[in-house]
Amino acid sequence: MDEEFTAYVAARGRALWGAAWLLTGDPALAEDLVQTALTKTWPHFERVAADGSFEGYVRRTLVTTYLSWRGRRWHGELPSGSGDDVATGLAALNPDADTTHDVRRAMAQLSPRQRAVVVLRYFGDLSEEQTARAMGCSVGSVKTHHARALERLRGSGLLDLSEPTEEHR
Amino acid sequence: MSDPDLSDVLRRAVPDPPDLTVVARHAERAARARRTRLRGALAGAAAVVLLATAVGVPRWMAGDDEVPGPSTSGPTDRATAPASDSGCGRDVDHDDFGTGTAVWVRFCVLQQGRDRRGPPAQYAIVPTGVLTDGAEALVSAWRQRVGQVHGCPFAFGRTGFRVAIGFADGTVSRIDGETGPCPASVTPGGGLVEDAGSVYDGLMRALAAEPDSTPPALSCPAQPPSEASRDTSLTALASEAPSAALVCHYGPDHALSGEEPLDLTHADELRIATLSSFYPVSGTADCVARVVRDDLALLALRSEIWEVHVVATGCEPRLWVLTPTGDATYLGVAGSRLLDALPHAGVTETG
Repeated sequence: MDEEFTAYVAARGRALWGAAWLLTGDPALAEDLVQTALTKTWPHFERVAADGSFEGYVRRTLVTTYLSWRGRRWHGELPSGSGDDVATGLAALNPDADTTHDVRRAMAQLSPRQRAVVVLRYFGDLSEEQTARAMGCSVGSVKTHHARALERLRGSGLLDLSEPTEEHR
Repeated sequence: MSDPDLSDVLRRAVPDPPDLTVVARHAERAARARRTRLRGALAGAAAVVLLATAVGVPRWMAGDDEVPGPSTSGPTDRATAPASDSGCGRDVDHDDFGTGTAVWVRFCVLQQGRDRRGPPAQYAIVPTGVLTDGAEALVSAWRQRVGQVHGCPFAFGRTGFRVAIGFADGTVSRIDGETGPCPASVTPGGGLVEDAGSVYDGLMRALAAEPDSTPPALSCPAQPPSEASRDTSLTALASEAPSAALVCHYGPDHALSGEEPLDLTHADELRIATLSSFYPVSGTADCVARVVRDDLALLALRSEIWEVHVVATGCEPRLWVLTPTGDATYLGVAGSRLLDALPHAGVTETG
């Protein structure tokens, strides 16, 4: 089980960490979030992995854990300034640092639930129904968060987004 | 399905992740530990139920209608309440440290080298017992200090501690930290409380009994005590605030060279620093010839006098605590916080 679990993290860890980074905007917190989600799901790995649903289980745990952290002060207070230290740090992590920086600032303007919807819908490629299941809320709630999130992202002026397609409305 | 703009932008924006095999290992280890603790807690609960049944049923059969007390014993019986009663031995399950009403707070008694990664840790000496009155105020103060912390300055003589917090809904949270200026971590949730030392100090003060209104007279002995290392209990020092304090300074000839009283605030700081700022180094034979500091603090706790003795002999300052009965406990090298809290007469000449 240990080897299979490690292999799973090696294969899917990048996507999990990416989602966690988009949610938290901070590499260290993203690592913390992924580790917490994996700690919670590890005991059920064998059982859930058997039917191929472990990915969804981890993703749901990641999101619910993130949303349960909403009382922490850092929520909604991601650094949005253009400090040299932030830019330098991001440039070291990713050659496309401008995009990284802009996305980080734009996501910081969303509420935790709006962030979760955007990440699940656009980074995780989930449908509205799947997103609602992952977040433990109704489809209507997902639609509301989605619409407001896109409105804010466009309003931020940081991302050049087209009007939503019918599929994403 | 993805929007060609936002999906691509998000994917391009995500930086390269760190080595996630390390994260996987930590997660696995934490999950195993959690499962072990849960099994231990279940076994403990089963044992308690069996014991309660064995004791309670005969009483009930005999018509004894005495109601057992709550699991969170009050401050008045702090010296006898076992630490595993409420929270320390069970899994933490409070979702969000920022919410909920705290109804009790207590120190967990930790064993050396347990529950920690890296080199064996030294744990601060803590009182047993639980704080119920004022628990919410204390936790509210800690909540105000939850934030994102980057790094911390090095401080010599830090010791680890763990605090368990119980909430009105029956859930439990936990704070782990080291005395000193570094942050403490909150579980679950992974939040950080700035300045773990303030968490430790706050609970130490809150758990300490009020000082006696009629302290005994203190006077410095003509010569410093000669210590022998013995393993004695420091429970009283951990659970009572001093009612008076006097610091005695000795020269290299072991003669009394000066004395100065401490006010109660500084006396309690010295008491708390004594219990939390030391590094366990065994052996005291090195560097015996050159005495550069020899300070003795007398702390009055109720009608008894405890002594905190720091002797620096050319190497590190060594720390002893002497009980009222004269037993000496050697704690190790005194940490910087204790040295700051203990007034010092200055470097004496070589002995």
